[in-house]
Amino acid sequence: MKFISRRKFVAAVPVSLSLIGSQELLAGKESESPVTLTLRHWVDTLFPGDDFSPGAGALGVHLQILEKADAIPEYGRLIVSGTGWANGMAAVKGISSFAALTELQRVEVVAEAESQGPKSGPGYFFVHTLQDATNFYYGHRESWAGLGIANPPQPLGYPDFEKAPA
Amino acid sequence: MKAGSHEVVIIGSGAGGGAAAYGLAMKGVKVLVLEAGPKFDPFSDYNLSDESWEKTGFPGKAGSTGRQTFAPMQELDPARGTLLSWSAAGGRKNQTEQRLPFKYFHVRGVGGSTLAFTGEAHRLHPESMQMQSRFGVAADWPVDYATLEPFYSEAERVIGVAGPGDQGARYRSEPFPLPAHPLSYGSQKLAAGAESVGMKWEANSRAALSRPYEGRPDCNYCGNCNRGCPRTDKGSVDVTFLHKAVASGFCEVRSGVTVTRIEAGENDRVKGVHLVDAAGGEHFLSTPELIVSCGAVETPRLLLNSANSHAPEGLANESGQVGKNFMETLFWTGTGLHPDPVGSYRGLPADSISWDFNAPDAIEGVVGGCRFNAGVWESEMNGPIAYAQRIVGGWGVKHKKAMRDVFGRALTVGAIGESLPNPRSFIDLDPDQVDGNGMPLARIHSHLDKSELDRLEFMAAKSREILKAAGAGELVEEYGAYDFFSSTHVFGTCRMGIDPEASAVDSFGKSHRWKNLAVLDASVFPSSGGGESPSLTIEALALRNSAGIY
Repeated sequence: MKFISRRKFVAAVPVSLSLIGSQELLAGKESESPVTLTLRHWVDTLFPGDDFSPGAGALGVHLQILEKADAIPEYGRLIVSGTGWANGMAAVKGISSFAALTELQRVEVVAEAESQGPKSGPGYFFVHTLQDATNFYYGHRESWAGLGIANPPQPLGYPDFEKAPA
Repeated sequence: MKAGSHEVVIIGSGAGGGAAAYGLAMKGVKVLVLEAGPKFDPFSDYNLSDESWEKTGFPGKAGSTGRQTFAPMQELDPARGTLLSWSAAGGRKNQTEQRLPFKYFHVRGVGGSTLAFTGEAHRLHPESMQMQSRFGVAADWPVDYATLEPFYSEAERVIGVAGPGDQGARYRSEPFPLPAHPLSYGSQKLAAGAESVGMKWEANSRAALSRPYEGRPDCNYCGNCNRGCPRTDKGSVDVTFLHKAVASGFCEVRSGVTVTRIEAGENDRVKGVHLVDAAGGEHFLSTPELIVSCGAVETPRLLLNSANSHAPEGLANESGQVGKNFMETLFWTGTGLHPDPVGSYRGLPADSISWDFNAPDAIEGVVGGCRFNAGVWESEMNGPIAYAQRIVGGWGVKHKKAMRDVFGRALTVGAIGESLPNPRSFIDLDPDQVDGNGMPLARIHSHLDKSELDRLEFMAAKSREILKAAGAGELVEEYGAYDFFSSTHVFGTCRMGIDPEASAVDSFGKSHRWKNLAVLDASVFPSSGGGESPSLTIEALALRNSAGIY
């Protein structure tokens, strides 16, 4: 892959997220912009659903990221560039979009972004979305299934604290 | 209390100011406490019942965070590589070759930093109060343990401290008010490990209720004291000393009031304070007696900012000691993974401790002691976000499987050691940066001498030994004071002593010169102790000294 610096990667997109429909999505409209669709599948690849817990997309993690990006124009541009890059990678595989890839193919694309390192545009996109998706994903109690916790620390506390976990 | 009827003004409402207010109010002295930060409501401000609890630390309410600056810190020494901070998921935490400032943990609010403290309730080791005469370092305390002992007991009763029957050198005139907390399952693992390498590992004395006490409920072991206790079982100053002081009718607390300068006048007396109220209005408040209790960074800042023609070098700074002798939190935390599920996020933070190396001569070849404690909660390794970001890392199916394998298996040994003063650690006024009121900020200069680094190496090595013996030898994170300044406990910048040439205040915290000015906080500590948390000693000193002031 040709290396694209993160500065060029972000600067290539002069639009803010508000111009691409995120506001409408955040307001609950059903139509999903291409950026939002791609980001939903991106975070679902980072935190996929399984027998225990739903994926990040089902919990709305992509919308939380877009909401955060609404207040940080550069982050919004990064997301537009990053999702565009992911769709471009799909096109290389002859598929119309990142969302249309198989799960295995999406994993390959995310792994490619990670492998390019944080000084590259795709790597920078990967690092930031992973960090935020981690924060948002585990901020949903549905994601805790299988970890041994079911509730926040209060109001119940942990009355079984002296014993081996069940 | 009627406006203007106060007999004593106290600046700051943390451990020192709160306990002094209590001590004076209980004697019927009319006290006005001025607090720069806001009042926190434990029942609504602390976010531990929400699923997003882990994303927020102690709440950053408007006005609750002060600002300080840092002078450049020392170069890192390649020979001390075992002291670098790192995590399994993130690698080396400090990517530079220089020690970096992370944070001075200081809460501006009614109750001060006790709002966010763990709540260890420690008495100083008696031998750690004579460091100059015994070892030629720091300075001797002008009061001894026997003098403080009744005030330690009084502070413990006010708080409702829970502790074990015996703490060795820290002799007691009465039992702790409440029985010690049981050890969590994770701490039981650490205890077994420590005992297998010949260490005594025992219940810690804690400002957290093991039984309902004076209308407050007992702890339910949620493990998040540092994020603010929504039950009020933690003995922060707002729900203990200040609550009782205000209830007496002799104490008023005004929040959102920033004192910018103290006005020194003639006849070696201070006239009052210049303040900015919550609405931004500037006022002058006169007072017969003034107590400064802003902590070892902000107290010297206020005194130095109060220089005038009567006190050209800063208030109470005739000895030149204001801001000097800065001592910090010399800390180490090591985290390893136990092979079995432990559920280590459950329990009371720092529920257990080893005092084996706490005496000032307990570590071979190094002057100054340390202590070790169960530390998984204080290192905030008690929620899924922390595990994901600091231990597991990665993404995808593999990440989720690893989270399920690892979550709740982290065991952490924390250690805090003696911090000895040195000429390169001090507080001064930043010549370039001011706060919103135009007053220069405090600038923190921190330097770790060889003795601190040697002590830190001992602490790191012993922590690894304990973790390995506990079955958690697979280390996943280490973090320490070598490459980051990160302090909760700070001391020494208005040293108390008998000699006016070598100390800022006397044995009662009173200025040697200014007849109606006292300092009651950890600024007055001549030495830091061997890793004890200082709040109980600050409170005991404040109770004893406020009795001597009025």
